[in-house]
Amino acid sequence: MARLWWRWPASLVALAAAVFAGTCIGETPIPLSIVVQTLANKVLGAAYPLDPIDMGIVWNYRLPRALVAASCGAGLALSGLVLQSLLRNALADPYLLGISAGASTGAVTVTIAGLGGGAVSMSLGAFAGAVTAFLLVALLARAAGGGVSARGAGQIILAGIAGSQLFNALTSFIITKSANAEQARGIMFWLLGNLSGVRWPDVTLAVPVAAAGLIACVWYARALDAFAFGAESAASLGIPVRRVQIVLIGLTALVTAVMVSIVGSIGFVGLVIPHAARFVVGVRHGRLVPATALTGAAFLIAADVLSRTMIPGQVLPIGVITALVGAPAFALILLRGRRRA
Amino acid sequence: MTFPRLALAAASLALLTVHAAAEPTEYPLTLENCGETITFDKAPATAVTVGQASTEALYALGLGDKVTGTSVWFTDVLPEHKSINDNVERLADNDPSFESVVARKPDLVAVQFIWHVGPEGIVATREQFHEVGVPTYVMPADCVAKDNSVGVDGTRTAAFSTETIHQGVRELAEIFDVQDKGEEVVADLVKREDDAVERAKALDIEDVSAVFWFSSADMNIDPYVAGRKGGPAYMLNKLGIRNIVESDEEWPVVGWETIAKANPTIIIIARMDRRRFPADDHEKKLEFLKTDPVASQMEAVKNNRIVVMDGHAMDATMRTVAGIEVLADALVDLGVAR
Amino acid sequence: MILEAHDLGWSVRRTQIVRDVSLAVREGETLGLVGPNGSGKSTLLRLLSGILKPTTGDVLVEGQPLGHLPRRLAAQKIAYLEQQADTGEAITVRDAVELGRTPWLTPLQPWSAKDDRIVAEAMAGADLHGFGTRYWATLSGGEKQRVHLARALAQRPRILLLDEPTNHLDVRHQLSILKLVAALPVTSIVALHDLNQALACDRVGVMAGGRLVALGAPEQVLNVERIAEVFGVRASIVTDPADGARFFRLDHIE
Repeated sequence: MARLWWRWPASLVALAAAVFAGTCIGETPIPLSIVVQTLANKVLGAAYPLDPIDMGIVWNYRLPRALVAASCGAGLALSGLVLQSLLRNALADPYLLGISAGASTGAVTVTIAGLGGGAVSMSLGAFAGAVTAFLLVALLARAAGGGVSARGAGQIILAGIAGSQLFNALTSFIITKSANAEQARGIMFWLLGNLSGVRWPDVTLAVPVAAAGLIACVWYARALDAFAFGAESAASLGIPVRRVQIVLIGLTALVTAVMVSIVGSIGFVGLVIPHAARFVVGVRHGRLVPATALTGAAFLIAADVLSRTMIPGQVLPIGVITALVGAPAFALILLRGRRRA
Repeated sequence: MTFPRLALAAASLALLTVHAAAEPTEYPLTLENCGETITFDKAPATAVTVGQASTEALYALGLGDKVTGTSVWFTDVLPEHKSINDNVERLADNDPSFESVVARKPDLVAVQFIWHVGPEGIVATREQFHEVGVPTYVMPADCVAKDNSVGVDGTRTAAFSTETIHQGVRELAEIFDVQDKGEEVVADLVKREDDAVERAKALDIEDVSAVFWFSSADMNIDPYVAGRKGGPAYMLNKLGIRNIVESDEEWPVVGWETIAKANPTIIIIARMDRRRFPADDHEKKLEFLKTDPVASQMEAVKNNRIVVMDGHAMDATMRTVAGIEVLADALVDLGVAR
Repeated sequence: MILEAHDLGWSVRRTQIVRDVSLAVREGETLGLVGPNGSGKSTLLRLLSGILKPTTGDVLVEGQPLGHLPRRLAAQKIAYLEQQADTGEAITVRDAVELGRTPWLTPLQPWSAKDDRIVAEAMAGADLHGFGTRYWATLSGGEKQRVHLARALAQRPRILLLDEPTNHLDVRHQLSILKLVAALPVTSIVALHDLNQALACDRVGVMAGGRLVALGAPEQVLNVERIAEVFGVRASIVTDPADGARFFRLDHIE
């Protein structure tokens, strides 16, 4: 294990490269030299003469967007990984606990139903909705005997489904009752994921949250391994199951809620990336956690770039890209996995 | 003695000529309107409107006393129609229900946007109205050379032109047998438009570009801007201004990066009463333009070439002409002349 | 007394699964636990391992209350092998056995050569030479069982709790597992179905209806009357003329 010390630095370099790539590529062509000079100006205090619009685009639009895409991709992927490992279900994804459904309800309540009178932003509404939905699902799961035991995991999943259905229905109700076509389209754009409005303040929220998630997953990597044979097995191996469950699921919910409130619900990342990472590095969480985070980060940066460059002059919702890539990728992984096991 | 007679004869002749220009409608009147055939045995006595544009069209034709219900309002009624409008019942600020409309037993329902009464009509389909004996008239601006099955707001197959607005006014005038008034309204619209175009021509502007910013789903997010074929694009075209947006959609989403790089000479932002998105407020739009690190570097923002325009004028309605006037005046005021 | 239980009980929704169980396990002994299905053997083992919290009574490990021990320390002392533990993950045999070292690893005490050595010994002990890179899904039921045993061995506990470890094993492996367990210097409590296998234990406990109805030397505890009463079968004791070993011949009660 010790001889692979270079893995962490190598991953960081790969991540930096992905973020750099995301900063270089965008809707409009900006030469590489300008990107480099902008970074030199801002970070190293150099004084290259540059068009303020070009500099602004690179430093205030593209770089924060790449950083948030990386954080969001890593955060969602790790959340999916944790839920898949704890609940022993390969189809678990971060939105299982009702978070995405709650976020969309919160968002439409603020924008379409007009709650808060324009003073409450869509992001805040989404976060509040996400947290509310999660708490309700957690209460329901708890009342139904949910936990990470074999039966308990099933109860959590069912509670999540019930909560998601409820909040999705609420979202539909508000949209059909109050919205006209344009409002519905605005919400749809947000619901499918959108990184356009991301600026530096969002970075100061997204990056620490994702980092916290990553650190927690690394800390609990061995505990996650121990769940391979179920919760009782993990307990017999010395894992404080209840504490791990509360901390990890709670942290997962927080990371997901924050990410969804910043960029909307981007699907497939939490579901597919852990499997893709497993396919490459195996199932031991010591390797799987960083691999999942890195792959998720790179994937979302790429998806964001694609969403802006696929149709010139127009921006596609990023959730469409992740689905278009994620669904066939998932199918491929399923097929390859069968042959191996 | 002969002179007064001559004058009388001349006056009668003149009067006859004027009247001869606008004939009374011959009933029964059959019209092709947005894919449906509608028939009128006589001029409708009452009408309900679904859409502010159709409401204001009827008011402009002096038919305010025949309107028994209005709905779908985007902004305050034009000041010249305020007193009439105050006496008319408002069925709904937004979409009315089918029952509330037919309960008025109107002889006509005048609609602005076809998606209110189209195949997936929010209020009801046109067939449903026709079944209960209520004919529906949709403003041609929303269906002539427009494929409403594609795109959220429909996609224009040909660029919008105020011709369709005139057609709407004329057809409504024909239905209600006030064609002389109709010609008067159209003539006024044409004159105002031509005057504005002349004013702009006099400036001899060169290489002026612009973008229309309607609103955004969230403050910092990519904005809804006017495409190449709608009302705003018509305004720009008529005044010799280039639209930096290349999309054919009515209100496509274009990234701020693209807009900033295109660096338009003028930015036109919409003012509206609606407050669903924070960006609906034009003050917030101004604030964004002034404080966003990239947008604030645009030429138009630095030189304060930002025009505030009535949002409803950006729809394909009679107000489009008002929009052209505002824009022409702005060109003069902002000194974009060579 | 390395492991003690006092008036241990566990109930769920007003059904008592285990009631009034008191026992004291001697260090180094192999204690067999027998009883018909539903008698509470598995539950008792889970209570003794600390995985399940008792509703009444308590468990003491080396004199300390089990409930007060942190899970990790408890797992260093006690290893528990479930009846059937399966996984859908694509883990290798080596991965599974390495899990046994979990209670001994912390972020400050990561994997070392010592752990490699312990894992190798555990695999050897469960007769898993060459199985290291085999994937879990390719193993037979018995092989999976041996992997679980190797994992428990890798845990290097002082007390080993095994819930029917001989299920699914072929005869040869059944015998070798029991022999291995008996030879280990650890204290073991083994739940068994086979009464003859129970005879090889140091002591035998009989469970019936959630209670511990007998505890003591196999010959005394497993007599014909008790077997008939608890198991509902007729036992006759047979002696092998070759070496005088005794075993049961079981039959239906007429």
